[in-house]
Amino acid sequence: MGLLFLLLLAGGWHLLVRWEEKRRERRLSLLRALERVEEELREVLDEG
Amino acid sequence: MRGEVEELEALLRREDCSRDFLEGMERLLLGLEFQSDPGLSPLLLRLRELVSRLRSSYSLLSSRTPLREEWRRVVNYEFLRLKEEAHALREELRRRGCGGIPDLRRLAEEMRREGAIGEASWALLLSAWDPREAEREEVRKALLRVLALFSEFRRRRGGGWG
Repeated sequence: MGLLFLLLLAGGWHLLVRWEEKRRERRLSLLRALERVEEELREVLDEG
Repeated sequence: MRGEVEELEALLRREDCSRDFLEGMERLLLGLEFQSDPGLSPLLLRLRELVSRLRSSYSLLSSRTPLREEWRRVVNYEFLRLKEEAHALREELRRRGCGGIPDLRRLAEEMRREGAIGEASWALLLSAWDPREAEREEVRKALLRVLALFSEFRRRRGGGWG
């Protein structure tokens, strides 16, 4: 019973870490996309 | 977007018209324009017109026209009128619980349509957009920088507001 509890706890922890990693990846890709747009807009403004 | 009321209040505390004030108002209005709240549109439209008129009067202040003092009076009058409308906007934002997250898909579409960004950046932005992440401070700051640059782009293109 104790072992089952520990296994469930470990599984839950693993899922939580994976979820947080995925969220972080999504945030970073959004920030990179915004950064790229920012650079492009700056270039357009510099050219104009 | 969180913090819009605070941003607006900071602008309302200004005593005189300045370039910073005008740019702050333009950025704020552009940010609100991309929120999915059609109820704000008439008020935003009025404010945009007032900002545009004030900007053109303000630009004449730096010229050596003999009517400079007249223009100063016009600027003061238009500045006060704009602030009155901005007060109404503040109340409306408070009443509505301060808006939501800007619709980045609409913003991306508009930037592409107006030629500010290319297809590749547009597609990248759409694929990366996640409204749950928009509440985070770093994302919000990046979004504000993009809005400021797009606002400048529109202004340079001829003062148009779409």
